[in-house]
Amino acid sequence: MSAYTTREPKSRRKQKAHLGGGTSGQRREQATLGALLALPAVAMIVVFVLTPLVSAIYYSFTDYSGFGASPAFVGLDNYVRMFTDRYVGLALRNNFIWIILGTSISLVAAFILAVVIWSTKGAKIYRLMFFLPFVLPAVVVGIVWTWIYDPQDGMLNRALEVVGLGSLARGWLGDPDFALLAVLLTAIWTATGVSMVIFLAALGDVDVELVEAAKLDGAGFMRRLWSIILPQTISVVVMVATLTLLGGFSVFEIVFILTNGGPGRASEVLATYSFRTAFGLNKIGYGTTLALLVTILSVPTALLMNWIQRKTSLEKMGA
Amino acid sequence: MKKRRVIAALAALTLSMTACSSNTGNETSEGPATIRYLTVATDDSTQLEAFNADIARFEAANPDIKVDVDQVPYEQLRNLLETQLRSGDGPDVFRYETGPQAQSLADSGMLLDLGPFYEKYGWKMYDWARAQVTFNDTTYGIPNEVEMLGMFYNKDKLSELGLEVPSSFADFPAYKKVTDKNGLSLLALGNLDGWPGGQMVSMSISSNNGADYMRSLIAGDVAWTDQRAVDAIQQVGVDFLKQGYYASDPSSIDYDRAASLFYSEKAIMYPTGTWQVGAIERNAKFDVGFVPFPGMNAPGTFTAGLGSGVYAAATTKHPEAVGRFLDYLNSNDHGLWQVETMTQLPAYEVDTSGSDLGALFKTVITAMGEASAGQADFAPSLDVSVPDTVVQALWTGFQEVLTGQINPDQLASDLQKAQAEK
Repeated sequence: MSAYTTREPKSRRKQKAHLGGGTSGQRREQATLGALLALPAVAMIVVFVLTPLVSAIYYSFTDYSGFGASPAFVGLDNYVRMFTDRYVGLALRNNFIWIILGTSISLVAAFILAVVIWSTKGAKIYRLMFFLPFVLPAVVVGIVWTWIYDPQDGMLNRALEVVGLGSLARGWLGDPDFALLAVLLTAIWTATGVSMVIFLAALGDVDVELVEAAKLDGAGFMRRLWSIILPQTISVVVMVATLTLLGGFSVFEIVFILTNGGPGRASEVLATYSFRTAFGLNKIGYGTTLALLVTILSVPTALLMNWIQRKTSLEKMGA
Repeated sequence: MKKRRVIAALAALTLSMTACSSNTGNETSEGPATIRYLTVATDDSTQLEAFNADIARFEAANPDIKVDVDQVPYEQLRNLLETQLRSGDGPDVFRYETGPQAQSLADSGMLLDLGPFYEKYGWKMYDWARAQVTFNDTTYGIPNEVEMLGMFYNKDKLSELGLEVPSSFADFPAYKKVTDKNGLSLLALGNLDGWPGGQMVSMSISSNNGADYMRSLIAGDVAWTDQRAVDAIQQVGVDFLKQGYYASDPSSIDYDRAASLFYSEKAIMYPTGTWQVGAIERNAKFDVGFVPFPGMNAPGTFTAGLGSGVYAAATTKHPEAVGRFLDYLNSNDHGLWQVETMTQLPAYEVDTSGSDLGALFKTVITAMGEASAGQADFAPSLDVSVPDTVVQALWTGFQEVLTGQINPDQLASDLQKAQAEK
């Protein structure tokens, strides 16, 4: 008998089986079990994600009003209309403003808050305070901020008057130049807390000794933040940026509650325009086409951000 | 061991699918029937109790019929109903809008023809109200409540300031001097939601040009770009704002905030509809009057329409039960209940001589009775008379006029395009 055909000791075979190695029959059994256990989740994705997506694509080629069994097929009419609809351009512009300002301000604010709380003893209570807005129902947030923005008795205008900036007081939600920014500020207030909590978790992995050493060497707060803390948390920063950015394409709730896209269409975003078209005008076909535009814009963005995140993760690992 | 694992996995799969299943509901074709009634929720607990008592009264008189009520906020009713109807799981009876909005349901075959019930039960109502739920010569609904647009005013404050009830807006410059001196405003309007502005346009057009003109506009016989329509938009969208007649910035406050300005006596007049009568009687600690929205140089005319209608689904399995329920909803008992409990105006005459009603509501009932009997002119309200495309263009466009993004001519042009698009 050759050395190459010597059987493994029984204890080693048992160990491998325990660790999931096992025989091919055992591995097949485990794979089948895994597939069966994953089946409910796959079924949910097929039912709640893929099926609606395929339906949406189908309806985007029809003039479906929401009623009647067989909507008329209109080919690319909805898509042609979308490219010539000036309100789509207006809404897209607002989405991009939301994405650029919302992502950058929210990220920077959340990161700085996280670093300050992380490096300050006894500041954990602030973690709860900043996170609380995220758990409030959107309707409650909308009602409260409508009061804050009230032109006569709202807290914002009163505060501006107290500090001598009364000339800046206005009807925030009714001013076409400021309505979108006012809603965006509300959204940033709501979402910064959750980003902050994610960053706090990431800061737990930062090498504190390096930070202390830099401090001893005379590095200021911003220097330590930029050169030591940020590089060690960059993959998490990119992940949060991805989520925030994608959220900017599909933003709906807070705009709908506070201004419904108004005044006029000053704060209209793609999602509110799609909703208004589909359910306010019973133009499900065209409304669905507008909604698909959000998907068309989001997917490449998500892929790009995913690539950036993988790249930054590999660089962090020294690959 | 292998068999046990597979069984466990299958059990888990079955359990998760069971969690997603739904009940099939009652199924009757003869004998006792359960019908689903989808209607508007009230956030007033007293009214909710009264509503449930009203349903219970019907069930007591019809022990073989049970009514399962689903109540949703008004803003969600349309979307929820349409979603349920599309899925084939709609209610048997439901409240819904009237006019072109309901016509789209009728044209899609979603509504039951109520003509046979009208004949069988002899339902009586205002002719113009029945016309609002009749499409292509078929009546599909019964009117639920009539609503009038006009102007509520603070009687006590006007008297205190030595001002008469306004008979036209020509009086307003003088009124403004008085209200400014007293730190008050003239008109409460909150147009953050868009639809109150549409009603201001309705009132302005009809009060300045009359009911026949409004009907011609709705029918498309007069273009929206007609100068008289543009002038009416100019009046309430530009001139009133420039002249400072509105309390606060109307584009930045919502409907409820505007109401609070009236209740707190910061604004002495409140142009809105009669659905607010109950709220005004509860919240205003002063005497309130109700007049037509004035015209520029004349007293103006009321604008009216149906607040909603009640319809039956074409797919209902219980048409007989539905007919009896609709008959109850159109009865004098139910109409009296609407007046006394819900502060609503039914679309037919109801003897309220024995009812204990507030003075304001009595004024409104008298005005409605006179208008429906042809003793006073009233114009149809735009938002229940024109297609959705025009309504959306009006609400969005008037916000743009109020905030200076477009001028009245541009809004008129957009309305004309929307009318052609319908």
